[in-house]
Amino acid sequence: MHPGFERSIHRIVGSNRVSQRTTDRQTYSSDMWTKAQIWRLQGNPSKHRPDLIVWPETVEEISAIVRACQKFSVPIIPYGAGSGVCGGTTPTRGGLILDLKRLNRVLAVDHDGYTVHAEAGVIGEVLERTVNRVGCTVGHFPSSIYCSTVGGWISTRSAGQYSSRYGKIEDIVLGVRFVDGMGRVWDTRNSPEGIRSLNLLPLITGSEGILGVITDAHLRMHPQPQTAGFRGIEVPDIQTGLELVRILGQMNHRPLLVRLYDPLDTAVCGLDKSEATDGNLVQGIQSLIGRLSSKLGFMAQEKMDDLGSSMQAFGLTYPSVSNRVTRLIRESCLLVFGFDGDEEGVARSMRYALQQADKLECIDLGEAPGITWLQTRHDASFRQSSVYALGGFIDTMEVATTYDNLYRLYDRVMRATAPYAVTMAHFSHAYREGCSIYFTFGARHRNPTQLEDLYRRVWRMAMNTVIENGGTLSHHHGIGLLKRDRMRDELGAGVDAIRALKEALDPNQIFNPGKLIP
Amino acid sequence: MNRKQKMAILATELQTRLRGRLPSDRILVEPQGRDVATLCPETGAELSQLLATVRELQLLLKDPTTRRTSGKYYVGLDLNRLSRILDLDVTSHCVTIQSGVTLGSLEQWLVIHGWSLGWVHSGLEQHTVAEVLQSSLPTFPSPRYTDPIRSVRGYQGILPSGGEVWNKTGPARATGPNLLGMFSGGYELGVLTRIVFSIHPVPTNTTVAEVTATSPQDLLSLAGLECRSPHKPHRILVCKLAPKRKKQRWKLVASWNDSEAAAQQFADRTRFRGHDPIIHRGCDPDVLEEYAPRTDNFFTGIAGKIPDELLSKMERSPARWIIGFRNAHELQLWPHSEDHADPDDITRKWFHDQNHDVQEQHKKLRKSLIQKLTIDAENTSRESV
Repeated sequence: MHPGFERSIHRIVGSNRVSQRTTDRQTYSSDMWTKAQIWRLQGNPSKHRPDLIVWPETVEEISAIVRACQKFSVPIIPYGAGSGVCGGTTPTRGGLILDLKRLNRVLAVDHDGYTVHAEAGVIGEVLERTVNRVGCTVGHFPSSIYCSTVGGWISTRSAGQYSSRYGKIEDIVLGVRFVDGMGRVWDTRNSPEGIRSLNLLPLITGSEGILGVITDAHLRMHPQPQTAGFRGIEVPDIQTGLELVRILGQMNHRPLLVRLYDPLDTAVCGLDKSEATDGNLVQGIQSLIGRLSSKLGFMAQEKMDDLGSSMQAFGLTYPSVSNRVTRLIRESCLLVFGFDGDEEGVARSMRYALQQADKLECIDLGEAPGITWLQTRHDASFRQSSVYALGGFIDTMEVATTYDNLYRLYDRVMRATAPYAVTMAHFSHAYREGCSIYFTFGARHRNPTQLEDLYRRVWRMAMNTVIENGGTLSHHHGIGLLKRDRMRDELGAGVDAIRALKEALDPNQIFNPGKLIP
Repeated sequence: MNRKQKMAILATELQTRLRGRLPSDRILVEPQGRDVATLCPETGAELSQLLATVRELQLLLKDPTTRRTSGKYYVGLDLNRLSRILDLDVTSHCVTIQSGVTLGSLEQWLVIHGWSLGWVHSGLEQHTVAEVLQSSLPTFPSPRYTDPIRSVRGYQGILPSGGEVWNKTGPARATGPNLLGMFSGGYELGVLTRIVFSIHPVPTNTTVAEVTATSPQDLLSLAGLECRSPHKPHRILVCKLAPKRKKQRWKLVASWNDSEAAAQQFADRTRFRGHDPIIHRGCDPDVLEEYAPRTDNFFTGIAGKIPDELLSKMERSPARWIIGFRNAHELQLWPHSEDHADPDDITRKWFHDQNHDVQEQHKKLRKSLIQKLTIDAENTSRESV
């Protein structure tokens, strides 16, 4: 790294807010991408280290840092809270990590206009609590709300768990300010309509830091609802469940939440609270295999429990067996849904939804499954370590498609990945036209050195199947490094358009190189 | 060589280059016309070839909002042959069409099958879908049915380089920027060829509520609240009426499809605030006719609430202003259809003062993007990770 560059950075932010320490460089070498966890398992914890980490506090500082990076051709990787799962912040070419967590002020809460102006580094939970104080909500509740930032949400087109009601982040954001690759500050707000102009907001939203760095954003707020009601329904099979998801997703009273779990995911969640395994895939597999064995008289459930981790490791190493067992059991599925609003409206919509469920011969499980979901909704991501402890990996793929194509896409992906990974899925984020399918893959290889190859194979099979069957590559995790090579399948020459946009805004190609587009 | 001769040479060259590759009627040449030729593609692939050739000859593609510059040569684009309705998916509430379909004919066809786009209004019926999406023509904002851009669930288009860009049909995605933002504002950055729109069942009844007041503030606040409710009105406007006995009058007009209960709840809320609402059924088409934005209006989008300074100017202005709610946070302002234009140029001046620098920045970026997109994208080597 050029000494002149280091001096420039120190001059801009002061020495306290720059670090080149090994521990920091290791920490910022990846986000929560599963492939990086595999690298860690294989004893290579920081395959791609940044050269330095900087914590700016103002837009002016960011602008000056960008100009310095431009002068010395140093890559910049904008960094929020590091909870991305696609490698979007991996510094593959070294460079400077621009950690935005010190841009953490909620600048204004306009109660009359129901808008909030927040800096990019504000953590989701902090933002929500701040607007709650004036009786409002942003309505954006990603499962990473404790460890994700406003800037990260916008740059990856994130979705909250209540996106059916409040929309995805692109529906919530009203305008952003960002600094481009020349250090120029742009404000997308108040763009005129009716005259020839680029609409920059949708172009910056989802750009994953390759066009510039988002510094602050104006977001919508909503009055906090008077009440919210949740319900659990046991549906006889997935197809029936999907019909109910469609009915709920197309109601005029937008549902707060609709989640349909497939049989294995239902086993993981538990149809009632006593069965719940709190989002742990390996326990779910064990529970299913155990139940089947007991049913067929192979082995008592108690004995299965004793086998513990060896059974779990077996289930992950031989996914064909686990997946076949799941299919054989043909369990019913759990559907959780909810509404918010005034009490009368919620009661009316709940009555209608239950009538529809009854017509489809579903069983009303009462409020308990919904309440359980509400209480444990942020738990899953913290409980995946058991899979890594067994020497395996776990990853998730979220795709979207229209209702007419949902079951076909689900079925094809399940079949395509079955030989390589234990796969479960749930359907959520129901909109008027379709919804998201959230697949979870877990696998383990007898030879740990082959784990990365196995990981690549699972993803290749899954993405091929999604593309061949008309699904979108991502619903809310973004692209990063993981899916960028398939972007031409997703957007065609749109990749050239994004590249042209990058050349116009970042002519020296310093922002987050190698991400989003091949 | 004069301009007419040069245009004739260019037209011949265009026809020669495409001879044998496309039927001859895909290029129309009018000797007395202002453009070199008019392109009439029937498919996206044809349009791709036409655009690539136009680029080779350094001609400019004209769209409904293009202002001609002297010394430049233009070709027109007629999308009337791209006018097929390709698919109606009643399970997923989507219709797939080619972009030369006019909104009026599409809406008529949909209504026959029991569906509607929701946001079409009389001023837009004659325009093609491509014109509406790409020329920023003003639409009637609808909190429930949103607007043309937000109703798009998938698309295909051709870039100036001839490359085909698409976004698969899907309800929501996180696959990079939404490139529709690039297509708005003219054909220079690409032409849409195929669109998937979200559609809605034709309503069986409509309930309208009207509230009148002497100042707009309370009505704006009421309208904002209504847009945040789960049962959104399909249209909600705050309009300035002609003064009566020198007193200003403003009116809120809101309508709900298939939800009389929501209209009644709204009426209760307004009574609670001391207003005297009038509720009636089924007069929404009249509201559309009277208040719809004209396609030649300069209309302004506001994010958040209307700044006090602008609102007081609107109150003082003799124009009958209409404030339409796209949702609780995005408003559109336009003058009444009979006033034809903003007589005092209030919004245009206000907007210019607020955004002059931003506009200059946008113009430069757009120009640079056009330059880059007309050059074939270079294949960059993939980075091995």
